[in-house]
Amino acid sequence: MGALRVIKELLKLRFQWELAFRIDAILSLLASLLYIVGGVLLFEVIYARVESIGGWGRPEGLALVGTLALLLELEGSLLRGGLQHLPSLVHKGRLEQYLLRPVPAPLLLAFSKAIPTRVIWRLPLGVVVVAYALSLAPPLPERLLFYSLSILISLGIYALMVFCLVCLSFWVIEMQNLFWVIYDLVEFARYPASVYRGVFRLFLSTVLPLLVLANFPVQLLLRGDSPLLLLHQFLVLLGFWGLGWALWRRGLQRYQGAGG
Amino acid sequence: MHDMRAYKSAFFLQMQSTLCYRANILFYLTAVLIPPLAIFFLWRTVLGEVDALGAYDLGTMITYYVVVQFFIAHTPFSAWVEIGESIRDGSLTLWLVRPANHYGLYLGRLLGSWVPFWLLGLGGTAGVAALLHRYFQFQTDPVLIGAAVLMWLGGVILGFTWGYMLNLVAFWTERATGMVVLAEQAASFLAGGVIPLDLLPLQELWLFLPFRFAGWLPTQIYLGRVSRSELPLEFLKLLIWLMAFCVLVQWLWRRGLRRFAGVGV
Repeated sequence: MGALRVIKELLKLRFQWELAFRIDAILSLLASLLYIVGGVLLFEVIYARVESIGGWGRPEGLALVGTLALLLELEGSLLRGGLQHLPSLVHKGRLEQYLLRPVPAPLLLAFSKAIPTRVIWRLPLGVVVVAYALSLAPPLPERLLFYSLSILISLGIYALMVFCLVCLSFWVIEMQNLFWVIYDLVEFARYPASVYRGVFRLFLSTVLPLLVLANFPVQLLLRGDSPLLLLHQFLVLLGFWGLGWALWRRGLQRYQGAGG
Repeated sequence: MHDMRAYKSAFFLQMQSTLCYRANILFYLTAVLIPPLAIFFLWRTVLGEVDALGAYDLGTMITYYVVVQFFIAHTPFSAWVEIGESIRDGSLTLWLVRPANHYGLYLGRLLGSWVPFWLLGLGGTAGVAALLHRYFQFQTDPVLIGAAVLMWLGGVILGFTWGYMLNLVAFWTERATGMVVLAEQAASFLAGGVIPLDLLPLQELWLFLPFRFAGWLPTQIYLGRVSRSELPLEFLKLLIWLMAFCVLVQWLWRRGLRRFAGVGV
């Protein structure tokens, strides 16, 4: 409970801080809009010529764009800044300022640079695209519940994937570009799962679970797939939680603080 | 005219600094490896159902994305965020007291920092092309390859100038990060990174804007879709855009410096 209260206060402070830069917020909203428009345009150009992409119709394609945008916005606004801060803290030996607090350090670190205003500004963009997709193919009400649950688990998986990556900073000194690995890998999540085949598709659903992130929520929402996909997601989440925990513990053993 | 040695030194020093962190350069390879591979699967499925999309069949489309991704991923559309930050925190003063042009120094530094990425990226792109050799269209005309690279290098300077210009907005705003992120997203999209510009609605508008010089146009030259007789005119257009951007940068710089309140050296 204490950790939750600290995170709540942190988010409140960050909210007030961000409100001071309104023009900046509007501009970054436009950047997000452009990202979504790009995704929508790509699919619109394709769907103007074909009925479906490997069995995925236009509503599913659009829902995929909106869902991925939602997920990336949630992670980008709430967790990315904090997680990306870890390499610099390790590099400068200043991680103690998080380790000494009476809250789990990874959790505190993750939310330390959250930008809650961005969620308010930008989340509606993804929501609008998903809502439009739903207006084209209305789902059953219980599917919305599966979808929401699935998005939450996806957010956890994605955050843990980024966390595992930044934990490598205990071993690699300069890793600014290592972030791009994960963001580039997300490219695989942008397209319908059906375009990938065989072992590679299995790989993208388990070891490198990029298809789990946005494809699974859309499959649950609009394609009527079994809710067992949620269990699959949960197992992946557990796997990455275990990996993240192990990397963090091993990393701390290597860490050398600068004191203070 | 400032002494060119300062800019050359900035170039080589930054290159050395970049080369200190070789793993960091290696990680950036994913920017040219992953996106074309991912989109390959999409287009293989789509163009397996229809023969072509506009003037793009599967081979042309795959080649387009592999080449354009190399160009766009290696174009510094946001210049250097440090420029805007130094204006905001007042440390720009440290640059103002130097006997060299700020834009020139940063251009030199930026090119120096990018050269190792370009060389490695070229190897990565060759690797992707080899992996997708069944689809990739190799250009054999050295003139077209040379013209494409030259056009892209012009686009790189144009992209840097665009980013530099937007960083200067920090003279008037408290923070320019949003502007720079927007600049990067917009330029990458308008350079043809998401979808070929000639497949978009209102293509005349997108093809008028200068961002195509950093991605779409060099790729079209590589694909052999721009005739040799058209090349001089395209280079002239690039030059005109570049001059316009430079004039605007000078104007913003002078106006901005009047407002600037720096910290002491």
